[in-house]
Amino acid sequence: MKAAIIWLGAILLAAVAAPFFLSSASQSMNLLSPLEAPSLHHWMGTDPLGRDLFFRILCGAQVSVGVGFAAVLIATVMGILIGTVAGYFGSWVDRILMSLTDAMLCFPVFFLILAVIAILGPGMIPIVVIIGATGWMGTARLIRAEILTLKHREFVLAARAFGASNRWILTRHLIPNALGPVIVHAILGVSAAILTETALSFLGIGVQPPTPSWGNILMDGKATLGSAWWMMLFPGLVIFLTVLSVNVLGEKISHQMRGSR
Amino acid sequence: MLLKAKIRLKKNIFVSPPTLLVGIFFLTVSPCLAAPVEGDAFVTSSISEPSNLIPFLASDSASHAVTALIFNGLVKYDENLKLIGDLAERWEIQDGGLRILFYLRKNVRWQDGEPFTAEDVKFTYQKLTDPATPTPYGGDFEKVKSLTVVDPYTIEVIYKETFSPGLASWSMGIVPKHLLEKENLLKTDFTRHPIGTGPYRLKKWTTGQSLELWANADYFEGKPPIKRYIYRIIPDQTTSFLELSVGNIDMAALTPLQHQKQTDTLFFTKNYQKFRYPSFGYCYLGYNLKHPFFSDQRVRKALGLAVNKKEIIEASLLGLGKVSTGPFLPGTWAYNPDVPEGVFDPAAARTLLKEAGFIAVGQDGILSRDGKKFSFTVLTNQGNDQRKMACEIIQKRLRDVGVQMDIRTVEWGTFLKEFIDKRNFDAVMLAWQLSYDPDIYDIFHSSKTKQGEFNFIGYKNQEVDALLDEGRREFDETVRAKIYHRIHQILSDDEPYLFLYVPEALPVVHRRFQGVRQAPKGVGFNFIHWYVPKDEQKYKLKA
Amino acid sequence: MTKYFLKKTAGTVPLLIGITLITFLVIHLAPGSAVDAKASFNPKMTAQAKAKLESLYGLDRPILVQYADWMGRLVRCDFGTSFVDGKPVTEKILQAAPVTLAINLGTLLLILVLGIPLGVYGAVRAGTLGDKVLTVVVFAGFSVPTFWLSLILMSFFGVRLGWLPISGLHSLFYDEMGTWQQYLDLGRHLILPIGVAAFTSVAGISRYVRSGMIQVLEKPYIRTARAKGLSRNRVIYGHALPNVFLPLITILGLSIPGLLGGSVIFETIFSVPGMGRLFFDSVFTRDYPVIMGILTLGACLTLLGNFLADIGYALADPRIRVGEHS
Repeated sequence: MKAAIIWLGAILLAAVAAPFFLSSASQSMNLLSPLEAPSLHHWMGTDPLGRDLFFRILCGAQVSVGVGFAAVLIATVMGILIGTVAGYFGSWVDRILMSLTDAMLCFPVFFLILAVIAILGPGMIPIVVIIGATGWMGTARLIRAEILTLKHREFVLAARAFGASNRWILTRHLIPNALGPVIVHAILGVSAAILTETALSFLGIGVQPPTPSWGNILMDGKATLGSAWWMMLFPGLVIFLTVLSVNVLGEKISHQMRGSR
Repeated sequence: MLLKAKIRLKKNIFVSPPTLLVGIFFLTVSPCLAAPVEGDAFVTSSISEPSNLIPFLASDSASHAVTALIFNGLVKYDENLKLIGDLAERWEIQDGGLRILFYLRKNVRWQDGEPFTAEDVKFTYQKLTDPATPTPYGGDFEKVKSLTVVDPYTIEVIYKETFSPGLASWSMGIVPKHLLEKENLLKTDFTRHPIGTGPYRLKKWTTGQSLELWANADYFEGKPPIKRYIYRIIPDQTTSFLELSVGNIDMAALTPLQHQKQTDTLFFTKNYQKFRYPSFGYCYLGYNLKHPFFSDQRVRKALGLAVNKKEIIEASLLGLGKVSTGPFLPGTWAYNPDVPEGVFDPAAARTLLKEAGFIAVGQDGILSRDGKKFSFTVLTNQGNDQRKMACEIIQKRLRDVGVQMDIRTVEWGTFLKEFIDKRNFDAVMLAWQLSYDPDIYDIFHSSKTKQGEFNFIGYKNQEVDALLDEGRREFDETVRAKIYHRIHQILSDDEPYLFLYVPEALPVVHRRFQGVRQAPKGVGFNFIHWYVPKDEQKYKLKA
Repeated sequence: MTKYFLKKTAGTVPLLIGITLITFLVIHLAPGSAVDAKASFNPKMTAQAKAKLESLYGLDRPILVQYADWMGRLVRCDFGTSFVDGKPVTEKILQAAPVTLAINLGTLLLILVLGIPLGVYGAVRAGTLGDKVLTVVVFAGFSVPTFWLSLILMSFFGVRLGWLPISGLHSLFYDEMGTWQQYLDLGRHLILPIGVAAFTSVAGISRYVRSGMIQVLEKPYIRTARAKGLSRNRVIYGHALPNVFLPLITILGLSIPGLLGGSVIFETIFSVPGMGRLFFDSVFTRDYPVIMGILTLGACLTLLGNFLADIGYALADPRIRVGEHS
């Protein structure tokens, strides 16, 4: 648990700070020293263009973690909006919104991703938007279910009896109370989004060079399998440890929330 | 073959190994070796599955690789890239090239036992030119005025005008009339169960996994010693390299990195023979000549000076390539050896850009002219590591002289429709695959700039136009050579493309195969004469 | 009750039409076309040839007419033929589906076999070192990039040790093997893919069983059973576990449509010709009939899954049938 927090702290620090200090270092090529094994000079070795792998991974944190957070933010906000409205207002609003949710669940996310990237071109923003816009359904369902149970509880009924507006009830009573599971869901969403970024790079539609992202660094490593173990090992390990830490953290939080209820 | 589209763009520089086999299966005697022994199987792999096994409907390299084994054309290229007869024993060119007479072999049978005759050739021609046939090769035969069957083994082709590349177009695989006459080509089962005249016949096709071909005992040049040819479909390159590293694949094309760093193990040196030779293609940066900056020859020249081609070859190909100076393959008769490689001189590039009116204004050092920054986007297709690396190196070099280049990778379908067809690009980084015939009319003639045509950079040069026309009218190689040498020179001076490099083909072949040789055409051209000595045979086959 | 079912079924039809219509529009409006993908970059492909292909495929008509045409054929259960190889779409799907289905079923089975005991163990030993280690292991599977793990295992077990085949479903000359050899061969090829798939998704079930089990173990009737002197195992497996199973069955029910969904990455790495690759390839070649076929199938299965789950709930809990009317 502590290890997870420390690791995530380090990664977040890298995500925020690295691009300021290392942006040029991570892209400076040295064609005389391609694919050097890890050494004191290059802690994680160099890639085929002689760029320092350690610096690239640090800079990649911004893209990968950034994509994760931003996408989940979009998904969560959309999910909360749709889920709340559906759960609170019920009847036909609920039916339409839930049909939409079902439809989205049937809809091939992968195809949407391809189509959007084909139109907007691959890049951070389209990737964030698309992972976000196709990831809200779970949150919406969760929050709707919470709202459905909460809205008949005493404190809500009391607020309504006192003439509170819908908006007041929603923002002051229902959403804060329903937020718990949503936060856990969102944390797990971050880890999923980081893995999705990696997957998009595998398919060749991820973040474009020369911007380093964990996904495309790992793909560079894949091409060297068999001759440069560091190219494959380090990026994979970093992704793995980060996603693992996020998951452990999410589990811990959800555990504590269940305990406190 | 089975003409591979004369000039096809290489979508993937990693030529799937069997494309190396495309073509010639003719060799009179294998010179140095004892009598070939029958038996064993040959396994190769491809990243994609063939889509259609009717030769003139096949447009992907996987389909070509397989149809090349099943079908024959009237002519083919030999190992030294000379046209020789295949199903045609010989031919005569008459009336200054307007009339070609083909004399067919008489002992040829289809794999189902029916005899092959001139009627099959006529049928293939009719289907090729039928408006209802969705073939990409119809253009080759548009200049044909008529095709007549003189007798069952003689064919007369009359051309509307002299068209020297026309002869090579008869390497298109001939299909059997008796099996396809009543079929709808778009739906026929024949594409899955083809019958040809070639050295191998398709025995089994397991969708998404493999194709299995068996040697044709009745092949007119004799039964090939290798009993079976297995074509595995392995979509991931890393996976196929792992399969190679345990000996499950007998022939594969390596990436430069694999060739240089991953195949020095004891296992590889013991089991595989490595080859390297220039591949039939070149990689280039093509400028949209409608762009206000790129229409200026000085700007194109300057960018050429700013880029270090040798460095690109060293870094992205690990030295396994040659500098490209023009649109022809080094060492072929059309290639002009006097065209200089071009120098790397950033200082000269800066001077030239200054002459062209560019000055640095902002803090960032990016040049601009008439208030417009010199920044452009280069488009490339996804899925090619070497090209991606080359882009990154060029990006850095151009930045050094004050030019901002962004890279955008685009998925293939989108690339053509949205960018190439609509001329909606600043520059593209692509590769052309070269045909054996040097005719590059489709790529550089000014009449080929309409939507969907391939002079998409909009190149217009009257002298080049005239030379291209002339080159198509001339049959004599020495006369044609002069014409293409001149074209080569002009294109190098004009630099409508920044010609970058000719990558090398890097196949490996398992050592148990005997008779493997490298020729100008590559490795694998004499596959039907390869064999494995009895005691080294890996797969013991009953049948 | 019947009325409820009918209402539900009636609601599904417009949803299905809506989904297919939107999909149809999206794929036809997306950049690139089937003809371009086919024409590749072939200089011989003239503009006329392209136009010819377009009319052959009916792509030159207004998009809604194309949709109506497609729908018209669909109601007669005709999914059309692929633009790429002219094979019927149903045939292509029927070739890919069993592969994906077999792998997914195998994976699911392995997940259950591993996940349930792991979950039970975690619950019974909650808080011990063993539980913590297992938690980390289970999460590790959940957190690792699939293709990275697959490649590492392939190069270790396939290349370094040479114990397992690397990719594909069969060895060469599979047809010429005896029946038992065939099974053995197939099994050996499936070990890695199924192992990786199960390891990377065992977390869901095992965590679910663990938390469910912890809750159940705190229930008074379990304490009573223990107090009566029943053996520990008897209580855990005889009394507690069945109570965790019921909701588990619902979860499994909902995962049925997923059984036909293959992962492209996974299938690419292992060279397995399943649904994921079929879909991916057809998207890249803009093979509209195949794309539409797979999507329609997927949508139907998802809706069916939801529908079954709803019915399940309705049977279990009559209150739901009344619906929310506040």
